[in-house]
Amino acid sequence: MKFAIVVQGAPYSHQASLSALHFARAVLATGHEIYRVFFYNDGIYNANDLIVSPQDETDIRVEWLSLVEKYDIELITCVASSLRRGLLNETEADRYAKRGANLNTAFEISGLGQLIDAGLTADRTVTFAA
Amino acid sequence: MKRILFTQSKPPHGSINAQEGLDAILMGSAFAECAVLFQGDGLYQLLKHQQPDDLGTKNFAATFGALADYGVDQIFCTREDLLDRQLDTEELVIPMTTIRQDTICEFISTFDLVLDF
Amino acid sequence: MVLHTLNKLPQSAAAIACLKALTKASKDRDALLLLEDGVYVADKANEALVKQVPVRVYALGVDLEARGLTHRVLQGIEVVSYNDFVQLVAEHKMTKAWI
Repeated sequence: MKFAIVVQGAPYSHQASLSALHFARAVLATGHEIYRVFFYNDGIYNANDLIVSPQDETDIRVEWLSLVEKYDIELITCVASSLRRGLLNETEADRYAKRGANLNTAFEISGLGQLIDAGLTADRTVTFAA
Repeated sequence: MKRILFTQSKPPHGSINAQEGLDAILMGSAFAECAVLFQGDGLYQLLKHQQPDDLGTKNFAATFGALADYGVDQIFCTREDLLDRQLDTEELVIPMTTIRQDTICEFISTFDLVLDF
Repeated sequence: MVLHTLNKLPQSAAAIACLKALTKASKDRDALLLLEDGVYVADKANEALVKQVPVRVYALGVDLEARGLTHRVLQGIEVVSYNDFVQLVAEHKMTKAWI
């Protein structure tokens, strides 16, 4: 089955991201496919490349990266949610003349249509929210 | 065409959740037949006479009037949620269909997809 | 068939709304999965709340363990793994998050 996962919570501030990670791993471990993970609302903070995790804590940044490296899954953040929270890729950073981009390149910034497409295309959609 | 149920459960202005939920509904309307269930305190999103200008948040309640233009005219809430808040449908910015709390689970199951905000 | 997920504390608005709605749910159609802070609903102190819900109730084991609740789980609530969670999602047409 194809799964779509929606993440609406910021890493560390709320357990939503961690739950989504565990769920994503279980989806893949049980032989299913992840169509897309869509990050919305505070969920976009998962894509911040500047996350520095304390050494004795789960490194959310590394966790998402390793999922992408191992399974080539698609991680998308909503552009509107990203911009208003200060998460930018190079294009947006140039467009808005900001001093730098901070998007973890394992993620992609895209439109809200990707959320709807994921929900309509996947066989199952699960939301993890703060 | 698939039918999506959007649920809105957060009040306006205290967080951006309500507003971002509405953005998702508007996007959804381009792809599928959409209905909205305003749950619990989510009903407050629809209260008339909201004036957030001095506060500095967006008056996104004004956008609800455009939902019908986007083809989203199936708007629901439970009678119980209205009663609990002593709200009348007359106080809301758009027409509302009320359903009974005890039919909510059955109601949700009639859709193909539910997206929760 | 709908899998309902609840990640909020027993006295939260989301939990109250979820449990109220589920009192009239159908055992053949609906099920409830407790995760994150929602696993506190599975605590023995909340027997009265859970008794009103006629559907199967599941609670994520890792969340119970993290919170030291494993020995306080109400009888009748099935403790599950994330793999079981995936299976439950697969078995139900839709998953609704009470947030």
